[in-house]
Amino acid sequence: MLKIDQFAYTNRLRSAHPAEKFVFAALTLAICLIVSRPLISLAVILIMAGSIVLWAGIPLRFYLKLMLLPLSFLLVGIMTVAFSISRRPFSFLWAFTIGGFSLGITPTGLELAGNLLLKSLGAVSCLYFLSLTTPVLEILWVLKKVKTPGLFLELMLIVYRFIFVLMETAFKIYISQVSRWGYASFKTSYLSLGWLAANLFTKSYYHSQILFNALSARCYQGELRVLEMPYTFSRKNFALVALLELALLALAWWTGDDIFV
Amino acid sequence: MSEVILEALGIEFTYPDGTRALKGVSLRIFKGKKIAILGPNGAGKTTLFLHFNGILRPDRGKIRFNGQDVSYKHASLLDLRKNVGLVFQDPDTQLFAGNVFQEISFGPLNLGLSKQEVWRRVEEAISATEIEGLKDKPTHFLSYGQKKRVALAAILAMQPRVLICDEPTAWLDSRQALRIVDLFQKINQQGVTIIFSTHDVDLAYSWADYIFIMKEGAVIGEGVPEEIFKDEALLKEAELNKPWLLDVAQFLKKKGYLAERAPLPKTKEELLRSLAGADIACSNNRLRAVP
Repeated sequence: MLKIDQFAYTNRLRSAHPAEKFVFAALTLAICLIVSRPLISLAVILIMAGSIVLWAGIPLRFYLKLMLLPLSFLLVGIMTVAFSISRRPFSFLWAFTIGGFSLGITPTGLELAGNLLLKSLGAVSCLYFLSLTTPVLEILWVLKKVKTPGLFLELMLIVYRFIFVLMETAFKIYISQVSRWGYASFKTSYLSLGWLAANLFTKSYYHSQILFNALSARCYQGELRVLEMPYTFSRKNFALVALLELALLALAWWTGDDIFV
Repeated sequence: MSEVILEALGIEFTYPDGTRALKGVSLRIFKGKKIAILGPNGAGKTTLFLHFNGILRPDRGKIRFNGQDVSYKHASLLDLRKNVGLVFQDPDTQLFAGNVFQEISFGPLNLGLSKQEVWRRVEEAISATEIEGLKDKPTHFLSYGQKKRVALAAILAMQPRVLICDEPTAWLDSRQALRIVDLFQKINQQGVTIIFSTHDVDLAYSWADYIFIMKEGAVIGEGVPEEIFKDEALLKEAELNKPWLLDVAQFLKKKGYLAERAPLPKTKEELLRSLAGADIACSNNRLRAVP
């Protein structure tokens, strides 16, 4: 989480217009979700991996680790898709039968599961591209431009800001507990963790009140308005994004006419 | 006699948990002065500051800004907060925006200024606090000292007439603290009244024009630094040390290295200069004594 945030501020695409990156991620995500073809999903995964590693300069190892995160969830998830139960055991590639019911893998189930896996990874990689190259603030800026309700955006901003304050507070409490043998045994660990959680809650509540005071002290009247940073559009980048998206669509078109499943 | 800009008249305040934080505080702040408020923890300094900015409303008594009572109506509160800027002690409670530039723009935008004007003020505050290099940085990447400067810049950009800082030098290393004091000096020279709370008696002695001493929710002493720090009983009651300069100067006077009637030095440089003067005076004496 923290590492992602750091990369968002230090990657090579940092200075690119946030709308360019947003459009790129969103269009590719849309194509990946709408066009149900393993080839397209694979292409999306590759394009995004290329953009993230080669273009934005995120270390490959780190990116692979990130991709492993959803993989574990996905594998559990697609198991239920791959396996099916039936009374007729002949359609299975592999199955075992208990009391007239067969549990096993069918070719269609396997295909569906594979599709789903690739599609999910493709979609996740689009989101990773956005979060690794674009700081949250700039994503908020784009969301504001597309008329997302202000309250929603302010909440996102405050949540984002206070994740860090909260983590720091939690870390400080943790250190103070560790230094007094708070995690020396299973029992004390259990108690300490409980204290940490409880204190974190009261501290955040206290923090929120002070923040409100501090905002009021600066004439806060219910709206968090800040100056927007100037960004410059790059025609080259837009052309590149358009080209990539068209290529993806063309690939989808070329590999068959039943694009939408 | 210059005019009073901010005034507290018999302020009493009790927190919802029953703590009587202020027990009838009255004080007057004169325009363009540098005011230090000293006192042990829990004396009510922060609570008083929250009253000056209209965040807290007194149970009894009133706050007066520029000769007018604060009425706690919307417009009157906004006017007070525009003119009296409050920098909180812990910058983390004050900073909310993603990056430094946007953080500083929040206050001036609330004042309803044009974008160009806000832009100009933000740039100005950034260069005044010497944080040009941090402009695009997200606030959570900053060090404590940097956050403290950003919090100050965020208030400066609103161009208040009175700047209140709650322990501006607390937790800063001595170089950072010195930079903050230098900055205060510059701001004060532009006519801004400065009020700050501190535990640093040396800073208060050298720098403030006027000092208030608070204890247990009341003002127990006030005066110019030279007078305040002469009052041993008061210092003892407020649990304050004497500034080292004063201790040394009094010792030197007792031993005859400094003339009994010489003015008390306000800075280390002044002391050294008068010592150099004393040196010459001493050698003259010796010259006279030799024959």
